[in-house]
Amino acid sequence: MLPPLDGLETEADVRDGARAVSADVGADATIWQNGSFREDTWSAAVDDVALPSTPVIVSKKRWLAERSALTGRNQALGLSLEPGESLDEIAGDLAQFSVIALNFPKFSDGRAFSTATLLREKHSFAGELRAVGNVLSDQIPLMRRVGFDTFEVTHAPTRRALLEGRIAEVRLHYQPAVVTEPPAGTRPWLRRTPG
Amino acid sequence: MYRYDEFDAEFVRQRVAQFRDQVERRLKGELTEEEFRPLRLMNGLYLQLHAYMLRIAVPYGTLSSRQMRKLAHIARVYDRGTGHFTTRQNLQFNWPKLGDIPDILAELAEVEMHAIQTSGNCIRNVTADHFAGATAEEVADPRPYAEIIRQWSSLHPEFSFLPRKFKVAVTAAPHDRAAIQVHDIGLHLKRLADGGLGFAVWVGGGQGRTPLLAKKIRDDLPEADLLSYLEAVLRIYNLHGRRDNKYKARIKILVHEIGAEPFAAQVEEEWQRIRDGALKLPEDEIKRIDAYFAPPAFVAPPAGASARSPLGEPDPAFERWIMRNTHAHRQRGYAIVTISLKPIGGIPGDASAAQMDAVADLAERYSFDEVRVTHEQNLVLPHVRLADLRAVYDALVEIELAEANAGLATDIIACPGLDYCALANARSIPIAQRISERLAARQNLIGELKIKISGCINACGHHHVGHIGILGVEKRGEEHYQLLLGGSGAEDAALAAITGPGFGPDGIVDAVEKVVDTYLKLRSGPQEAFLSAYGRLGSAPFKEALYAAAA
Amino acid sequence: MSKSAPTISVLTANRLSDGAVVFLDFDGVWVESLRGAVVARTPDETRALESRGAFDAARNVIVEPYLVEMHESADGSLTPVRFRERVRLGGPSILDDVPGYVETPKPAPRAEPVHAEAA
Repeated sequence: MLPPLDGLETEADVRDGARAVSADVGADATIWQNGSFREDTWSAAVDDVALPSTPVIVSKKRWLAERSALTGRNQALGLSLEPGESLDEIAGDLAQFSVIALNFPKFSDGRAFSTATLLREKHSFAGELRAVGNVLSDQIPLMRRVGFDTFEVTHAPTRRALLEGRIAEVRLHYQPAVVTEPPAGTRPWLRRTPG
Repeated sequence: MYRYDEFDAEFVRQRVAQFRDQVERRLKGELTEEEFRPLRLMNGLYLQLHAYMLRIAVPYGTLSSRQMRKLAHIARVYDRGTGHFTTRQNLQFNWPKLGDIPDILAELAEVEMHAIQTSGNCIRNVTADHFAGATAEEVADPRPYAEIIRQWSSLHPEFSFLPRKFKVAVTAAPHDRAAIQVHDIGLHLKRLADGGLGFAVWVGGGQGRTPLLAKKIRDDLPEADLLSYLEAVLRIYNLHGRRDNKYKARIKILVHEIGAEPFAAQVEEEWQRIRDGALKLPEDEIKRIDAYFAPPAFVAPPAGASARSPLGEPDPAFERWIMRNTHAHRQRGYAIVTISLKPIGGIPGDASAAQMDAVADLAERYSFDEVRVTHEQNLVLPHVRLADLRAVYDALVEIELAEANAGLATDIIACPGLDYCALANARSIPIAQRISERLAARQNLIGELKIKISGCINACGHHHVGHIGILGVEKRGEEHYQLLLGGSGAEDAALAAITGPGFGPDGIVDAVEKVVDTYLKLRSGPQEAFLSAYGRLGSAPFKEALYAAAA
Repeated sequence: MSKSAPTISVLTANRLSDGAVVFLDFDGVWVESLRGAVVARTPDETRALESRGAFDAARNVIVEPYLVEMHESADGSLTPVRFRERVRLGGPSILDDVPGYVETPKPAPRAEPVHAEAA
């Protein structure tokens, strides 16, 4: 019926070709921080599986269930939150966490932008705030502004853009954000991303 | 009107460069359509039934002649010679090519225009009373606040991926021409008890699948607290608005499901935390923005000035146009002119490039270089001297935009419908055309009658707030139309009620005529407009006229 | 539409570059006319069409491919079954009334990308 397709075999191949993790950067170095990729020093705890004796990130459910045991641990502890998980029950515990990872299961689910804002501004969380999940080029500048410091990135085109310094962003801003930004002129809320 | 300074100009330039990069990555395959879609939507680019559609922002509906000429130029060079003014005071082009979009945006940037956030799950164009700054009814011009909100909401990092779109409208007059009660946030500028300016804040209005009128959650918000309060509302919505179902994701559903008072309490709690923070509006900033909207240098007319030449022949057509299409101005000797984009049998809201250029000339020459877009898909020249009305009218006759039908039965609002829109179930434009033709001869007799037509449940034609509303649906594979009566988007806001079984494309035109006939028969006199008569009579006589004979 | 007649489909999409309505033809090329569109008459053929559509979407030729059910008349001409698809095929029904409408823009847009001038 249709002429055969030469070269590329399947639709999946096409997608993967465009998005394959570049061979230049080790696939394990998934954490983007301060201008480079590094390996992740944290692991994600699996609910109901005993914790390793290394830095581990637990879910809110696990934290609430095992709070006293976890507080006693000698290892650094991190917390992961799904969109929609409230900070209310854990507001007093946040200082326990060296890192809080907020998940973006779909890039279009913007709840974590508000959660990040509240963590920084309302709860004065001073630890590492990490964006995980569907983290893409075009959201990273926005994430930075609401207080994320690190980004777990596996999307190949985003990784390439980060490595090549090619994230296209608007560096002028009409509103103050969580992070401190230098003013851009005399109007009260204009800011700019330095650099 | 607002004028860009270097910051504003550079912001738009960077945004254009960013989108150019996004388009290139899309064309190279580095972005899938799924990843590109929210990005292109945030730059106002839709994929419609036959082509892309670019929606250009006209902040609070205000344009200069230079900007209108640029729109005409873009229509000519990049599109097919024509544009459509929308129910949110914006402009749409229906045939742009993807690769041309960055160039179109760059050309728009040259005249301080853009397509930022005219689509997508973000804060959209802030609309305003189209008579703002010209009508005597206002306590103050609400547009400076619309401009302040526009700036604050542009690429707001926290609110770029909301559960759904977010629409804000502002008004300052007792007669609400901005339909604030059917917006996600409606703001009514008023004088507060202490003499300062502030707002009544309405939240949770909207049309679509679940039409709801907004609830007033705050009656007396001081102007200095405007942005912090909005931030609190948006934050609650962003965190708690539903994301499981596209049709339940607007803030109106959240307010409805939680309840207005609990919702207001949550907003209040967050707002109290942030109200004295960075977003408190400094008085200098309000004054600075106000200055851009200072009234133009009106010239008080000589005594006895009027629209009519003392020596001229009486001209009934001109008289009718003055009566229907002009509105009292705050400045003696001036009038507000409505340019109807509803020629009899024509396409509501459409204008050719030549017509846009001609309107630009009129704005420049006769209206202090300002023209407005209304959410009823017409244009407005806000500041015309009475003595110039004749020249303006004659010029409009030349370009076939002189129909004296503002607010009449042929001043129909219709969404693009299935002729253009991928979401539609039925065509709306041909229905508008045929109703217009059917009622034209009697439109003056009928008086004020707002007919609004949507081609699908998304209600972009605002049919829920039509005095007569029409909703196009698909029934057994064919176009079918539901008839609703008694809606209003003004300060007497009400949702129209469906009359009964729907009609086919011919039947709906007959049905509208039957409704009109019934009104004419039963009204207490010509001074009782349709909506009042419907309120007095109820739906029964209309339903009887529509359905009893068929039984 | 007769339930006993086998459903036949063609594959349609919008061209990425300009959003135009296109159909997949026998050579695997996307064309603006229904004539020459490849027709699927069996479930296997339908599946092959669908996967070709997904492939070409991944190749960024077209967007949003989907199958359109067709009614085939005695002379072999095709008409979409669904009303919406008939309208989509025909283009806006009111073009004659659109003020200022011209089929192609004029003059040709600038060849170089436009860079907004500094104010």
